Amino acid sequence: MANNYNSSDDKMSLSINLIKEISRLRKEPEWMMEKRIKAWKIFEDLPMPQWRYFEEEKSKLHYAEEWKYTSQYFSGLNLSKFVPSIEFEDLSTKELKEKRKRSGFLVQKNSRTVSIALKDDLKNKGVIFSSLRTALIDYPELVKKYFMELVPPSEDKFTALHGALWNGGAFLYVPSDVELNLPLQSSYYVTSGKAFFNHTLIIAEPNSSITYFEDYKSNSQEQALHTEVVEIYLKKGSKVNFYAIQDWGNKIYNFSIRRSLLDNDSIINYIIGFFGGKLSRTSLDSLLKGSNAKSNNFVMFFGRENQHLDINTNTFHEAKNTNSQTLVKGGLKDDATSVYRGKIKIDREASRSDANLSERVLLLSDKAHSYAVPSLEIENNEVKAGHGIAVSQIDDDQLFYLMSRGLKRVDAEKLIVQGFFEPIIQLMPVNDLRLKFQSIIRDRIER
Amino acid sequence: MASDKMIIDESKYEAKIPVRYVFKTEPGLTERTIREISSEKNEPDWMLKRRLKSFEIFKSKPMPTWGPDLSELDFDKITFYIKPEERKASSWEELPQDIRETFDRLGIPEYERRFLGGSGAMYESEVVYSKLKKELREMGVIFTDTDTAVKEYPELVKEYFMTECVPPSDNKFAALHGAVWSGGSFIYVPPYVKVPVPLQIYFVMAQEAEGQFEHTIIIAEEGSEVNYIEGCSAPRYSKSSLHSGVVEIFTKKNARVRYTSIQNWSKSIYNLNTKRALVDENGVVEWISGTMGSKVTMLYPGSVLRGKGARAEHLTIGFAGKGQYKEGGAKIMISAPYTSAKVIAKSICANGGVMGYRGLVKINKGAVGSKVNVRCDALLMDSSSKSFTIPYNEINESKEVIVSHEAFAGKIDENHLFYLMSRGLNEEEAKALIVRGFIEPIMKKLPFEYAVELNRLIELEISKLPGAVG
Repeated sequence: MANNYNSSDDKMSLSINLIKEISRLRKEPEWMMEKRIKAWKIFEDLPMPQWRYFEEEKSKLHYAEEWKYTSQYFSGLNLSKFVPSIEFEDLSTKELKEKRKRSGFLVQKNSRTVSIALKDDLKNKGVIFSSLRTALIDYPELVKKYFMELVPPSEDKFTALHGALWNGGAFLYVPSDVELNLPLQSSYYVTSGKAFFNHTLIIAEPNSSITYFEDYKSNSQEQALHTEVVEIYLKKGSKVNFYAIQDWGNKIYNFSIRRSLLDNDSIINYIIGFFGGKLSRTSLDSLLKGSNAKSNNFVMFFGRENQHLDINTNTFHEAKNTNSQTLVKGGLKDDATSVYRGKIKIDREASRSDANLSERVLLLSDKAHSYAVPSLEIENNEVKAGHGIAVSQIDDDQLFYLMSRGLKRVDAEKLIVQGFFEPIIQLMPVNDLRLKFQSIIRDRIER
Repeated sequence: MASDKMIIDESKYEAKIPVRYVFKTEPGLTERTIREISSEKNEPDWMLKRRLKSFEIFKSKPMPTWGPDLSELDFDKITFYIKPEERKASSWEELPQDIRETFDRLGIPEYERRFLGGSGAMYESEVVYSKLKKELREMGVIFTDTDTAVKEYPELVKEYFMTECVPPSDNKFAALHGAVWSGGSFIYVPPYVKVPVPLQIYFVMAQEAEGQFEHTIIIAEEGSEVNYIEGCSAPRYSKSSLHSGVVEIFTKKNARVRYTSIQNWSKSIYNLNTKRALVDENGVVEWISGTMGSKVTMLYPGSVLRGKGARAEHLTIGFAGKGQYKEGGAKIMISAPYTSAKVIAKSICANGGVMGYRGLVKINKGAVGSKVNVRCDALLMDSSSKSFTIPYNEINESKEVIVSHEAFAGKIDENHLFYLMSRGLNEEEAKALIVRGFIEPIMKKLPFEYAVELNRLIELEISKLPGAVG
């Protein structure tokens, strides 16, 4: 059954024929192939994001403010180099034994599903958890209804490419009133290959409750491209905890968009650890469409060597009494650069809304750079909104105190940086995830 | 005092004045217009060359695509230069009656009589009235209009006019300004001279569809001090006018400059300015501004802290009422160690006005130990108004650097309102009092007359608000 193509074939390049071939081999419904082709056309039409227009191209003016500070890195980036491998799993992947402390899990290696599991009692309640590819065959109507409705391919060039070539990713459907007591985990590993496009759909029906954890790792030394789109639909009264650790290798270009649509009384809690990649960009968006909806966004990042980390949070308050809180904390060492754009928009209809945003950056080297653009846009006067940013170094008083207690300077510094992230880590109710975040941060500080 | 409700005659601030001029260019901008302006002013050749070069830059730059909508701004309909009938008068009595009346309404002679050292008024594109106390002249202080300075102090103007501070290539409107500039103040303060009284100028735009492009240069030599105040106003016309001034401030070692401006253009004016200060070692520049008028404002005064220990302080109050879209902000660019900057921006939006803050804090390599604090507060008076805050922070140096930014937006606190009303104030008075408290930190720094005028204008806008709160 396995269909293997040799992706190292030099003649292979990105083209409409390749996309058709992928779709055919994956036995996708006709409409998906059409969507892919449509996205491909958008990809071809869109220019690379650039924020400064050039005189000679005035007619083709494409002004993308949100790519300022990052678009300069695209000059040497040739997207057509990143051809995804057309090899994928047998559809009848056997299920492995349940891991403890998880409601279910999915492991994908180089975009192929290696294992997948979901507790039987949840299955019986109607929970669906599978790879998106399987879901497309088993539940085409559900996928069709939600796929790329929240994040359309026209978003930007990378998202369009994603729409044309998506391969990995998960599908999670939780029916009304079902609560998952233990987290679900999806782990993605990359050992070889050039391009990975993960798409995850999460549908939380009314009054359901989900904790979902995503984990990205790679040990490949090849230059690779990874895009990710996560679309989360929260119906009335539902609650989703979405945690993620991105720990790609230092040759990977990574573009991710995670967006949630919130109906009345629903809550999304994002906690994202953003660590890896040569150039990594992530966007964490909440559309608060229903009244009393709430969004909590927490991001931790740590940059080292010549990493460029670009973090965006966008919170749109579109209904009454909505609430959002955003906290971004990061450390930078070596030549690393961070860019943070945090946007809060409060619509005219969103009276009695409350929004708060802040960023704290610790610069741990002389060569690190940090850019921050928090923005507030407010169209209603019955609201409270505020933001704050602060960029500083390790506090001398704290350092002095710890050293006076007998710690060596390096150890004291390490302790302070770890303590800096701790308030966010402690927000996670799952103990082994807290340990995971802590060990990654410790590792990043030391190396 | 709050119960003494002031009666405000709005027309006072938008007085129309009969048109008197001896020369004006055809509407629209061509190379010919620029040559005409230059020859009408009898300018030296080098200035014409600079104008033409700026014009080339203007043509090559695209219109900004961010910020407010500028699509209604039609360069072909604007008269770029108007020369009023009267030449500079050196005493108040020499001015013609109607111009005097206008200034009377604006309250200028009162200031002059009371305490001002020098005062100039720019009517249309030319300076018509200016006076400088004799003792200042004896100290070596130069306070004149920039046109005169071109002729009398060409070496100074050549060195400082749109060279390192605001070159024409800075932005499209600076380039336009470089091509058609006219009037403005030129101030030179010699080393270690402290100008004891504020220097003041008032700009008036009286014509419809007019462009005003005044150029102000302040040079404060080592150890000197100067306090400069400008006010702007224009009667209201239906056609849009354009104001695009440039202010260049040179604060040398240990010098101190305070620049205060109160802008109350009528609501048909596009106000697109470029203002910047270069601050050397231990120099201090203070920007204090209140912007009330204009249809569209884009104004981001900049401080370039390039000497060790330099300081900048920006205090702004902005008010956006009906039909106004205003963007203000501060640009702090730091390249020297142990510098500091503080920005406080307060904005009030009412009756559907849009007021925004767009600022930049850029800390370059080598700016060890610099500290920047930015604070933006917005008060939204009703649900149809809009406020936004977009600060850019670019930090390229990490040693002992502290950068912080805070912003807050919201409405008048109902508890405060309730308290004041329980003490016997009516709603309007209570609101006015709260607003006054909100802008207090900046009001304190304004000269008394300006504070009064600004207070009245804000009260006027608040009185227009629909009755109930929130």
